[in-house]
Amino acid sequence: MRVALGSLARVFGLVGLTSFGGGRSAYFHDSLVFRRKWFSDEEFLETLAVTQILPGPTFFNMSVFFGQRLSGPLGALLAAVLILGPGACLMLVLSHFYFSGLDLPGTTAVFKGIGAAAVALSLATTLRVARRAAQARGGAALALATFLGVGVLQLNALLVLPVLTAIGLWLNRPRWVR
Amino acid sequence: MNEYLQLILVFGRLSLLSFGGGIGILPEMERLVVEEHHWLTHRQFVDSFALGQLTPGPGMLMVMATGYRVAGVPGALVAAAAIFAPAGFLSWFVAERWTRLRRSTWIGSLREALGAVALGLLAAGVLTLGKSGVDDIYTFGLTGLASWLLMGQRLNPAFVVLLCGLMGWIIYG
Repeated sequence: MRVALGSLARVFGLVGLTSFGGGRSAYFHDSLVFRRKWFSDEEFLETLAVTQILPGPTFFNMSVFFGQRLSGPLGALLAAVLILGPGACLMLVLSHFYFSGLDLPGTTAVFKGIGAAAVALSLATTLRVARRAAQARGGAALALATFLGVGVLQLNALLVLPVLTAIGLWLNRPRWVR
Repeated sequence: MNEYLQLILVFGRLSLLSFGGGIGILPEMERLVVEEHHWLTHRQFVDSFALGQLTPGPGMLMVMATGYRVAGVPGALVAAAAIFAPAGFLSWFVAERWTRLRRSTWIGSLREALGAVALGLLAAGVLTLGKSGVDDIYTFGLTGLASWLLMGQRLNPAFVVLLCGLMGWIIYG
């Protein structure tokens, strides 16, 4: 499916403005599959799977991926800019106030509460993928090793990740290599 | 070394390591931003994560707070470009060749391997946030409440973040 840059801009611009909170890929399913039928359900799930593999936020990777599939390299660039633009502008404003030092009363208290929400958010994301991820051959052991290496021992991820990924690849190698 | 160059090196490298999305890279980001470069305190780091949850778009936009702290508005833009451009380029590269790549039998293996590694990274991310986010009985209770609202009630995360901020204000204000 190829679409004009203008139509792509309208769709991704709206998602960039309104995509608050987690589970953001749902916004793409709604706008690209359900409303416009630019992609089928199968194509959507395949894209979700491959963008989860790639490094980077899945939601951002998906916008680049869909942008390329819909309108080529310019579409990918435009999608990335539109997805990041509104949030980036707001983030600049928030950063400015946060570091401005004008110590509003209650700021520390509010952020203590927000910090607790952040823990809950990360926990929810982790549990959501846990069952599926642990099903891989050696999945639980690999996940535990990653957790210990990067989280507990705080080893350099640049050293830990390639080694564990290679082991995981070999354990889950395609049938014809076995 | 030039501060822009340092931002590019730190966040550009994090970009290519961020398997499991934004949360999975938090421990490594904290190691570099807080412990190695002292750009933010531990508390500020957790707060910047929360700010990222309040804005639309990827939560990874949180790096703009660090960039802003280091070098103002240009620093924030450089940090954002450094964390999104490498991952974005890779996604584009794969999308451009997808009709051929999808036939490779190694794609499934890659999914299994990276899925397991990403799970470990995500759990490590919980640890990083928990170490300073949960430090007394109130924050522990609030984390439990927020988890229930997110997983049990499926409320929108941005709403839960705001609600917890309000609760914090009531408890500690």
